[in-house]
Amino acid sequence: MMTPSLWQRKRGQLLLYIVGSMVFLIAIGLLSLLPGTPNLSLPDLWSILNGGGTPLARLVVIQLRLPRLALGMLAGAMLALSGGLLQDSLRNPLAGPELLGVSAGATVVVAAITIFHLPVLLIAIPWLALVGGLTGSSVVILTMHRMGDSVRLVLTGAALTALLNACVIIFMSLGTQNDLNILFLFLVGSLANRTWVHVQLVLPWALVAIPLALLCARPLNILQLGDDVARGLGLPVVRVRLLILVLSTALVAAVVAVCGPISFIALLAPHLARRILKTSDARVILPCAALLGAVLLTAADLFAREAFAPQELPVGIWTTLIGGPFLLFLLRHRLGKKRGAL
Amino acid sequence: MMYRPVIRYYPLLILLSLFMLFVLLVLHVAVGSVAISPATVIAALFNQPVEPFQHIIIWDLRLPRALIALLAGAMFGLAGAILQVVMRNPLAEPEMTGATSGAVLFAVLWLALAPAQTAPGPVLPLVALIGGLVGGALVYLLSGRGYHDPVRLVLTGVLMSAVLRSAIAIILLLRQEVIGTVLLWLIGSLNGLVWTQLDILWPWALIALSLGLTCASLANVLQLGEESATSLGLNVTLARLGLFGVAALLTTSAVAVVGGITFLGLLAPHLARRVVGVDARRLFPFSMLVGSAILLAADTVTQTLSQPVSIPVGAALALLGAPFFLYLVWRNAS
Amino acid sequence: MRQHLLRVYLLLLVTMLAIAACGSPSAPSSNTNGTASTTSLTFTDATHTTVTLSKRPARIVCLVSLCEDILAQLGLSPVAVNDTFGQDPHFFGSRAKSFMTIGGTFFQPDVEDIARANPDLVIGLANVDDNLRSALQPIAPLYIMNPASYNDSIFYLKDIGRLTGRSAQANQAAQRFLHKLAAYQAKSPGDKSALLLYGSDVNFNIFTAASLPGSVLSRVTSYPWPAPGPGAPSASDHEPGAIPYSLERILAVNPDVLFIASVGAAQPLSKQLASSPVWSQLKAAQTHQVYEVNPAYYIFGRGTESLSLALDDAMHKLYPDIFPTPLT
Repeated sequence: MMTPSLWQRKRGQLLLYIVGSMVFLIAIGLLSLLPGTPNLSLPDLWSILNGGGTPLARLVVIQLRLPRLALGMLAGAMLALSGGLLQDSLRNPLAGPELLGVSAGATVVVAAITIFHLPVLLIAIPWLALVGGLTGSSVVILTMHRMGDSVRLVLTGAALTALLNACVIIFMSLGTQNDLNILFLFLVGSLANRTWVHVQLVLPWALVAIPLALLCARPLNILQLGDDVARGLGLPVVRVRLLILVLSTALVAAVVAVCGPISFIALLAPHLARRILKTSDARVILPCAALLGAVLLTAADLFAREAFAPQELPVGIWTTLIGGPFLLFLLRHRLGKKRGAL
Repeated sequence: MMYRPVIRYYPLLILLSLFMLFVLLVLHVAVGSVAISPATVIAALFNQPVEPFQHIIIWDLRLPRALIALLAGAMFGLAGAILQVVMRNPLAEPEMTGATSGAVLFAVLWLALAPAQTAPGPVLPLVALIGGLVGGALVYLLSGRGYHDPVRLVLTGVLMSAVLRSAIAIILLLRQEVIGTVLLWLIGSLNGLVWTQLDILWPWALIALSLGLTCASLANVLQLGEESATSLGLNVTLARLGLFGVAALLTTSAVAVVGGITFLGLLAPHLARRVVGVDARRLFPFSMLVGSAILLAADTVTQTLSQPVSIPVGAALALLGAPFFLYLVWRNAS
Repeated sequence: MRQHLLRVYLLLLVTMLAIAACGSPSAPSSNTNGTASTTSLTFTDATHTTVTLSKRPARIVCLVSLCEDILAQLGLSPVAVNDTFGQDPHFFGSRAKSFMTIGGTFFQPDVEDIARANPDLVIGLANVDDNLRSALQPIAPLYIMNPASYNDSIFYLKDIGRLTGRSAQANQAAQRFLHKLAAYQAKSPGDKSALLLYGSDVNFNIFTAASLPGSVLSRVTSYPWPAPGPGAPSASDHEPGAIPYSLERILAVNPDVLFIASVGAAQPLSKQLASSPVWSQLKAAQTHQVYEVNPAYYIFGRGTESLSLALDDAMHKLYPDIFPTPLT
């Protein structure tokens, strides 16, 4: 927790950070609207947004690139918040939806719906994904009596994820040859070809869950003091933790329902935010992590779209490929000899 | 976590288990998608005249498959037991060494990049073997020589597996035609494995299993805890390194032939531990036997269920192992 | 006690492995090269494996639809199949229901069932069935096919014709297809662009001109979808097949006609596309030239008769005035 004078000093830094990331976000956003078929320049973009430009360019920008950008920012923010909530409430730097089996649980449900062509309304899919994610996480969380034990957390989550991935692969192996290719794309997490329909699907969840998540900052700060202290301060620890878990799962479920499991944004963004701002105050970290997550995912998606054009490689691959080692690098100093020193 | 051994007379236990294993082996050979009467099975095994296709099925399909299941199960079981000692955590599994992902990555790279003239054939398992060892080494090194710290090792293992899998995904997406075979390999399957594959497997099995068994007393000392072990004159870091290496070798050579059936490495040591306790000299061999038994049983089940739909044995194991795994975690927590 | 036990284990291990090693089969080798007239019974398949048969194959097991297409053209019947492709009236019709079925999945056919069928030859698809080779060694020779273009399909047709002593029928069938192709090519104005794709409106793959159906379509009409650029395998390597493609580029090229293969979707892909704000802007969608096609002919068949049927269907849809009925 910070003393008032520290808060003054930090406030300047915080403001700088927020302004900086917003600028960065806008820059990346604009940048992601430009390349593709057709390649646009900034004046072209400006004229399109003002109602001009060729019909094709307008179609591409307004119906393809803009919703994809919006989805990327929303999804990035939601994932980052989910990770931040989990890490702070479990007091565990390795807690993330992809490592806890939350993503895997949601993925299994969505995969089953997709592969077996179950007649489910589009609107209902995130709800079903939520159920899947909660089931996945509950297995891990309910067995966690010692919150700080990273090893058990990661191991249980990894085993559960392996199990759930096995289920998905079973589903996939029941298909024909070409089905498999399509389904594999889904399994790695992608933002490709999403339109406003998909943004509309995620938006209600974002509008409700993101503010709720930000409101959790105070209870999270209290939880970080330790369970006993928190109880002493009057916080119903178990209930709060459960609610935070549900909220975090909801954030991930909506993203998985639309984009598939995109990994490592949730784990990475809060850590990066903590590093840059040199604080653990959740009131600061949560919004900053959200912004950072949006930036990261948007940048990764831009890369995914253009790196092997005209072929598209899903963004989930890149976030894992780059995010995984980066996370390892970030955490290498924090993983000291003493287990408790996390 | 100390368990009270259920059966105290150990040699009797081993004999009983071996007998059970033999029964399972025979059962596996006797049962399959093509119904063959037990009398015919026994006749074929003793080289009495039977229908040619029955002879082929029993000798050339089922018997090698059963033996591969036996060996691979033992290897995964032992690898899991070793890892659980090194990590000092009952939830560790061979996937953590990065061997599985490394093996598949190299195999996929080979499939994608090898000139079209070379048939995949026997070279593929060798490539996978090298890949697995590289993967294991990578995890080991990247955990910053932190193999004295299980946390670091676990984290590195999990993250490295994830990273390798996304590398695999990239290659698969650029060369989509191999997705089917690779995915099935990732999950593990014994379909179509015959004497050729067994010939590749058994030398490695011999070496690695013997190595693992002889490390048993070393593992016991490690289990006493770092301080006690060091005071007894053991170089803890070196010991951990050695054990980790043996586990990676076991995992890699098994994965190169049967694919990623690593869930077995989690179940078998647990079951073994409940029965014989934590003494590694008993745990390791018994874990091998349990691993073989589980894989044989699971494969027998998948063999019979080939119509209307068949699932690879790795998937069946994952599904069957799930309730048990959940039970385990729940028990460990309380 | 401990050392004693250890020795016992090692002994048991060695014994088991000895049994394993000694049990290697003396398989009836189908690679004998004894008689003088075996040159016509030798083949080299897509994995560059050369096999010599000891006699003309009469009992053939098909693990891929291409095999059934070929056998139907040659006037033969497979003894066992692993799909229902043959039940199409253009091939075997209701007769196919009596063929023995190979269990398992498409990716993992049941080898025991194959053994039970007692075949002389097993025909499979590259990247799916090639790892069955060692398992099939004592059972029957394996012929792996990998058709990357229609010329490959013709080659496999003729090769199987040669091996089964039906070269005349094979040549006739090949000529039929090539004549049809040339006839369509001659009469086609070639001014309409087409695209063949499958999947969903969000996750879809397209067939490039370097794929098998693409190689046929690009001969008879405009098919502006080149194979993926540098860094990707060339067409002579493995079949590039279908690839995920940039929707923006599809919009830019704006093909006149869309051929869609909905592979078992709950809602036909054409319907999904109609309700999408992006896809509905395509010229093809607005002029109602989005057609659902039979994936068995266009994609999975891979043989000359399947491609021929696909060609008839496609040309009729592309140029209904010029080709109201299929050309013979």
